[in-house]
Amino acid sequence: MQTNEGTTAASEGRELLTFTLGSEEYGIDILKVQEIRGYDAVTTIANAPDFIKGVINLRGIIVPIVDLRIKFHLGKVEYDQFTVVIILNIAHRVVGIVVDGVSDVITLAADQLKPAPEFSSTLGTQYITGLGTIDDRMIIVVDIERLMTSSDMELVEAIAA
Amino acid sequence: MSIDMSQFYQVFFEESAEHLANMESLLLALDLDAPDPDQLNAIFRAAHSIKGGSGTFGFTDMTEVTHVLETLLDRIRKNEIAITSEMVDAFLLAGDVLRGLLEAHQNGSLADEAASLAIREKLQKLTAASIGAGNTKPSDVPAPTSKEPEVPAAANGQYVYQIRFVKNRTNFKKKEQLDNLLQALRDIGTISNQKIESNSVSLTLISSTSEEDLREAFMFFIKPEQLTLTVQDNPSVTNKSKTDDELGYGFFVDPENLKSDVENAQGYGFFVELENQPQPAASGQILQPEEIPQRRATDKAPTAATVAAETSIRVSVEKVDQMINLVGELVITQAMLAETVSGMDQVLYERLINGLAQLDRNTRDLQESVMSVRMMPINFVFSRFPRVVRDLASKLEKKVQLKTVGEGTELDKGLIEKISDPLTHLVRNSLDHGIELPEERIAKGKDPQGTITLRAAHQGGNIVIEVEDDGAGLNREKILAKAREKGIPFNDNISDADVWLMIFAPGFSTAEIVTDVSGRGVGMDVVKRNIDSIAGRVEITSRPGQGCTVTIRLPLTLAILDGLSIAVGEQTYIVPLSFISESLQPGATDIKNVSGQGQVVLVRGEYVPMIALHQVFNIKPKVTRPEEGILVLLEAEGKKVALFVDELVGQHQVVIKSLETNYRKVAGMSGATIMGDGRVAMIMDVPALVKLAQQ
Repeated sequence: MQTNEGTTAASEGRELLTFTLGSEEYGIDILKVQEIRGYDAVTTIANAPDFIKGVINLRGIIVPIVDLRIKFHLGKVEYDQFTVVIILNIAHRVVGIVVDGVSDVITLAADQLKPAPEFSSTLGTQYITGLGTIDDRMIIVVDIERLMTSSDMELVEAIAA
Repeated sequence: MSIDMSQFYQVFFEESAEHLANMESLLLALDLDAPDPDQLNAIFRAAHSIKGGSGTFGFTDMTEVTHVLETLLDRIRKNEIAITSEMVDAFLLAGDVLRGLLEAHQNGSLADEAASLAIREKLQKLTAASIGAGNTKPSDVPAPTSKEPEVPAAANGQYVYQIRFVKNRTNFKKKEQLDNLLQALRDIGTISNQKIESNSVSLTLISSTSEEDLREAFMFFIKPEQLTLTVQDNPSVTNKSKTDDELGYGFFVDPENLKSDVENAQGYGFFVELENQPQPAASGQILQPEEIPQRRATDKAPTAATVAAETSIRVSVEKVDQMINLVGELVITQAMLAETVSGMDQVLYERLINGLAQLDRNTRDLQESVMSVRMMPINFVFSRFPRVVRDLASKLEKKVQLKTVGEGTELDKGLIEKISDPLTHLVRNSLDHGIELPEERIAKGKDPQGTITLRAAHQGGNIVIEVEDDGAGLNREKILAKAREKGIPFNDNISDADVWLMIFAPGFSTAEIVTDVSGRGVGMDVVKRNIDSIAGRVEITSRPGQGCTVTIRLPLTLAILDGLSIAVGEQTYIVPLSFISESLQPGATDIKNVSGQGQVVLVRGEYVPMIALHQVFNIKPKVTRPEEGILVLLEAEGKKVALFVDELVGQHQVVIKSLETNYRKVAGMSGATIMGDGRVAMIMDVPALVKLAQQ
């Protein structure tokens, strides 16, 4: 089903939610986004890695929050009323990510997406679907599902264990 | 017009399973010397309902077994024959076969034809045997409704029957079937003039069996209309029976005849009970008036069952769980509102505050009643044990009685399902290893009949289930010897309680002989693991020569927990109340350092290892000196540990939420919950903490 969505989206161009981390702009599949909310009280998890901020109560569901800024050493890590959490719905899980800011929803046509060159980036190239260009902006398109379920994120038991 | 019957299959499966369970427990409760007619009727009704249902859905194999079962039951019920333990065994076996068939239909797998055939034959034999015996007892078979004169019983109780029946491909597919029939006839009387032709068989039978019984014996093989049966010395009756057969139905509704209704164009192929049964006149006629309504009553039994069914509904567990979750949310929302209001002016917002107080009560009541939906009496588990004990005891040639106490104790459905296997294992173990053989018991001066007691009770926030036997008890030396052999390390002055717990080690069995019942040493460790998985605890007490008691402590439910909230730094944690023995503020001198590493605290003359929560969880505490904070004394798995925290916040009932749904398992935490202010609080995994303290 997901591949179907992918192909239809690719032919008509895919909708991406873009956010900023430091000076870079990232795009993720908008269908994976459940909602966007402010950052509020997080309950820390003992002995968890520092980028896992803890868990929040999202209308009765316990949702872990990952700060991508800490994970990828990008941007200024501070929490105020402008801090944004993107709640993602991936692999039947609900996970929140903290980013510097949400900028836009864009549609990227297939020809606007270029394969990512082989370089060592903070975000492993295996998680990057490609680079998109809109006007003179460059957007790094991330396979967010793959990233969040990877063992690096320490979010999922099976891989982490 | 066709109705898709398959949509009703599930209901039939569930109901039949219930009927079978019901039948089994009734059979086991039956007093063979003086069977209670109500119980017999109930057993009959259960069999009858299964037969009716299976007939409706076209599960003929089940119908056939229940039919034979029912025939015999009907005779017992009508006091024609006395129930014997052999019959009860056969009934229980039939129940098992039916269960097997039911499962086969449910899973679409292949049914065990051989077993069902075997049980049918066994029951038929019992019926046939009892037919012979039946006549010697006063019979109260329904008496004639017409005023036909009674046939005088022959002086020697024998009748001469002229029997002729149709033989064709459909009723005698195999030659053996005919042989079986003839053999059955030979069992009850003497056959002469036997003539087997290509499409019919005729013979003369001299027997003491009544005509009705004889017809029933034929029922298994041929349809009533294919049989001509005449009693030689009374031709007038023959005419009468023919007319009745042509009519197709008579006065008595006979459940045995359900089978023929398929063929019979007139729907119910009830045929008339023949009027010329030998009737030991006096008793039979006196009974006649009551007998008719009684039969009618049983025929109405399915209707009565339907009425009873309407007072309860079947709901899927998911729906109930969803409801529980939603109510949990409601409770949290309510608590959030209550907290918001607590800061408001009492006078200004009086009505709002009052309204919220009422909401508080209502939500609590709602929560309680919703939780109770999931609660089931433990009898659902206990009820299977009479059978287990009975079967095993006879297999092992032991005399054992089973006592159950507190069957009405309710616990969560999820727990019921998970506790049943461990309990079965414990009971089997008690029977096999605990209870001695009768001779041995007599030699020890005990009652030759052993007793296994299953006891359930509420104790605080727990359910306590005990399996107690009055057998030999555990043997300390034997267990230790085995432990040595298995290479399990232990201290020489190990306490009894610890020795007993060794039997839960994998592969541990001190049984001298491995039987097919137990003794392979796989089992007790499974028992322990199963109980651990539902947050239960096991204890064993044993008195040598007097018996052994295994106590299982379970939480009431897996969804809600009574907890004490504690604060460390900015964080709040929930400690399950069941683990807390006390809280105390230590004096500075009570805290001792042990070899510069761990710390212990002196509590009433006992040194208890201390864990500082802020160190374990790497958080910045408000207080660092134990004498300024609070120590919570925890006890798990028989070990004690003192937990040093900043302060105690309060006691709550919390809804347990899994961390694993969206995250993963966190060491030291058993789950999370949502507090009144909407924040998440972690629930501590106390046994894990205690283990941590030991390292």
